[in-house]
Amino acid sequence: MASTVVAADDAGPRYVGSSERKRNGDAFLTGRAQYVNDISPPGLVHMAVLRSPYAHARIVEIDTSAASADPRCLLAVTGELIADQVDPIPHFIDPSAFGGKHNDVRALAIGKVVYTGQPVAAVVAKTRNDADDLLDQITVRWEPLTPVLEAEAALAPEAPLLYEDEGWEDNIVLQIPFIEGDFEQARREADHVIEEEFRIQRYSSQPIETRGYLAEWDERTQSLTLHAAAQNPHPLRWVLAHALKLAESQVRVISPNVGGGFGLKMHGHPEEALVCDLSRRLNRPVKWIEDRRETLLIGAREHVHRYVVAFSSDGVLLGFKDHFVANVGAISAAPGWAMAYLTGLTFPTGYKVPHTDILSTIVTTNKGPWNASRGYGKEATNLVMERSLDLVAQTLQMDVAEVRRRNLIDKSEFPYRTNTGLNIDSGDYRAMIDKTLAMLDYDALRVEQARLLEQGRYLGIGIAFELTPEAGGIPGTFVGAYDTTTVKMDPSGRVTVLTGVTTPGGGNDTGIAQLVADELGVPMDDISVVQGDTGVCPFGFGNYSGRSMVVGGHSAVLAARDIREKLATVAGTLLNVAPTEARFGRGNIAADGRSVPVADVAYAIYTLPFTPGHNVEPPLESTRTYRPDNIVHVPDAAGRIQPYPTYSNAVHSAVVEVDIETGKVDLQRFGVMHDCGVMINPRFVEGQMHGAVAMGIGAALTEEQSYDAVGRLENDRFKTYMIPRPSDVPRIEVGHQVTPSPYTLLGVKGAGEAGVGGAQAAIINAVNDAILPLGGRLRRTPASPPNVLDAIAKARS
Amino acid sequence: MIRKRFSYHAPASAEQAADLLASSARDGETAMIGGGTWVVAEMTSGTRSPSRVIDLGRAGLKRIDQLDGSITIGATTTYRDLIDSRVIDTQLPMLRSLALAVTGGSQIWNRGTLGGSACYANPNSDAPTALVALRATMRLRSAAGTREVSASAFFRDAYAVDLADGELLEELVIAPPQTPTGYYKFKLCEGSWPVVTGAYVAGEDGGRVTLGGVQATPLTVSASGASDAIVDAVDAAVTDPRDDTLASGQYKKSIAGVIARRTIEQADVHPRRR
Repeated sequence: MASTVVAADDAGPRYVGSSERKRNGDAFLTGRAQYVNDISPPGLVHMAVLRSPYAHARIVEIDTSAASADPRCLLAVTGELIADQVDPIPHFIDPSAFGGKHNDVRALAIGKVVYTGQPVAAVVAKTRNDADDLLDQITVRWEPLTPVLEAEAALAPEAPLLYEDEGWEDNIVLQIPFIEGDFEQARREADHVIEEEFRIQRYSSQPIETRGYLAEWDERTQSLTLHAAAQNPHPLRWVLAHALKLAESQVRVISPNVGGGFGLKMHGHPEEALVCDLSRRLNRPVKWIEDRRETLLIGAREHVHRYVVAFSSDGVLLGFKDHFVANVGAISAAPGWAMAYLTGLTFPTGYKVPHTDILSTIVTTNKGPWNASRGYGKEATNLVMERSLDLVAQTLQMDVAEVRRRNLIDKSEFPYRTNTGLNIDSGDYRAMIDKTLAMLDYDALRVEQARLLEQGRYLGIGIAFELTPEAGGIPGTFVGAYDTTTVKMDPSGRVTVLTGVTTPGGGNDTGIAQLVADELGVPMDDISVVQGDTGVCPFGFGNYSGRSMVVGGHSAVLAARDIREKLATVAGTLLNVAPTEARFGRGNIAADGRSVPVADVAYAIYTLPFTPGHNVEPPLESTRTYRPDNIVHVPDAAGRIQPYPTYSNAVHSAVVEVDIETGKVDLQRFGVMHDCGVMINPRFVEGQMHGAVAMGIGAALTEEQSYDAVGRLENDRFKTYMIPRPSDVPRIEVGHQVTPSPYTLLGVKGAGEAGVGGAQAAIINAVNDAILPLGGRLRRTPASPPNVLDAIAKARS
Repeated sequence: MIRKRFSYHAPASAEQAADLLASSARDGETAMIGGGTWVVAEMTSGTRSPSRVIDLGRAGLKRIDQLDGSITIGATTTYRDLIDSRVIDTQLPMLRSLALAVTGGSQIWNRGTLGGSACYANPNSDAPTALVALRATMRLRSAAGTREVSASAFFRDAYAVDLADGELLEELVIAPPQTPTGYYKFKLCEGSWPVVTGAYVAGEDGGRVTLGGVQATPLTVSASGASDAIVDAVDAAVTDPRDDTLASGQYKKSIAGVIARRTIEQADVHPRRR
């Protein structure tokens, strides 16, 4: 086909910055989108897992003979039986890399169990029903041990030890200080010093789709394919290769559509390697889908903070100390425990505090292990700092907004180096406070509050600043701070994008398509995005830390620009102009009043390599990696690293009314000002923020995983583990401020991670504001009716 | 998924159901289901594995009849049936309020039954409180015939009712109060089970309030005297508050009087349509 030179077109639409709709949303809305449980290859069989009924016990003997003798049973295994082919699961982040203690984590327990629900045996049958039923025929002789459930108990000198691996002389996984200046001196010299103990409940995240895996071992090619509801396919491939004693080239991980991740689907779960090994043993496809009860075993927070704030009479922070303890439950190979490390690292968020003394003590107990959860520990830091600021305001009878203005980093001070070594890129925090007050009509709201109080009604107003370090990377781990994308244009001019970042349902593929469409001047419909398949995608780290646009989007832009350069060169030849004059838009390349379709140029590059295409190298394909600026992985003199390129910020506001007779909190209004730099797609940024705020509402008001005295989880379903329903969530008002990051290509900052801690803090501050006239103070989460009524009763007694 | 195999029976009448029940199961437990919203969930989770399930769904017990000043509600009448019934709306508005406030959305409205909830006798559910407050008569059937028992005697303990072996609940008979009534429900959030419920029937003596969720079975307190007096009266009456996963007994005791007062204050304020 000869290239046709046609009349010049107008400049094409710019997709970036536009709220494009989700590009394959119809497949989800009409039920055509395929999740792991929708995949059922011929010969499929099902795994069920026998879990420990004890929180802490020795396994004396496991007898699978009765189950094995049942004709329905295809295979029954124990930890000892699979140990010939299954090594310990490599840790996502090994505590020993930070100077902490190491333990081997096995797919099935050997010797002892350390939490209720720990996998101890597995069976495979043709149906899941039969597999579940066969579990009853496995008998285990247990020697129960004393469970250690609370961090205080685990830290006691004579506490029973969970782990018998080398180096475990106590139950402390890791203790990390972050010290800057001289807090004790600041405390002595300060006009005011306040102290508080605050308890954060155990809670997690609950995606609508639970975890699920489908493993297919191919005996002929000696290779394994795992379809997994997983956030990080390439790192998971590495983990499986090591745990299963295979080469990475023998393993392919495919993550189909994922129904929510939030960190829970980061890897290290025992069932991942287990289902693969059983498929290998049977030479059949084996599937395992998690029950909600199993999902609820996984935690993500449980802290006790003891903080001391030193400040001047004019409300200026001088020193901050927080020696906090995190109860991370049993240690799994998933990256949950490290959330508590980042809680410490993120102090004192966006506030200037000269002297800080932070100590993070990470303790293991016989509760279920943590996995990552949106906020990744930073939500707790924001909650504690925002409580502190409110207490300062309360002590000085100063307005809560004013005390924040006096302590937030000024916009002229960026980039700002924090006490823990973070380098905050940019922002205008005081403007965010002002915009929040305007959003609320703050002064009028305070008048209304006073009026209602006279009627015996308790309205509370809470605001909370939130700093969210995003798109980070931890050296020596598969928490990578870069990612890689391949962009290919075929001879028809259509584009395929293969990227190492994955989407757990948030829709970053749409944002990436917008970026590539703009670079190449083609319609978004001409772009397909492929994610989550180690067989075809470039090596990448997947989804976490609000990184998809920062490293996935920007690497796609770099790759697309390579393609664009080739297209411009050949278009220049066809149009007889310099390549630099070529303008891209609406599927055409234009210059000098004329244009040529992109598809024609692509076709020329593939088919006319010795004529118009002679000065570019086919194919139209480029793989590029984006490494953002600002990351410093070489420790400074104080041993500090700078693991995050960007720092989004937000100011949340909540209005509540507290029913002081029952303690019930009515969340009446919620607003959030958000600054994540340049937005590729505001619709998706807002969608992410809505979801995060809903999680923060659950964290503030209702969600809690509680254990009975022997270490069994009490909240094993959604009737008792109460995530917010639509009617629990008011309309969420979102406003944007755009302060571009100077450290990323397009000024984009991370988005998606932020919102949980800020929302939780704003609500807890509002509840405390409401009960302040009664002298009440809530020192724990959640602000459930019993906890709030208790706080009021304590003030009255 | 349901692990264990079981036999399933759907008798065409209450009599057939009673005969079935009289013939003992081969081994293991027999579970009777109305809408199945409790039992099937328990079977799915493996916490209960009956060997025989008798489903009353086709036994003709899905009906609301008005007869001789009494209203008879078949045991498998669903919450949706209550919501849609003109008789319930005009004669027993408390039950309409109750049904509208049932947590779980349209699936539960369409499947869940008043009789099934009564037989399950979860202290954290709506039905027991209202049935005791309305002085319902529970009509029970066995192969030997029928027996009647008052709602207050029927609820013996948490999850325990006065149903002998071989007996099933056939229908509920209620004489509609001629005085204002009210139903009030306190829960922790939209998705939570009721924590404390109140059902009020007014009377010349001030009427009575029945509280659910606080103790193992519904507790009825006389509402004579000033409206504030009910708070103290309830507090004195709650002698054995019950802990559950959602709230401690002590918390429930501390709000029970307030819930009683609010139940009275909001009497006869029934949502007409939702």
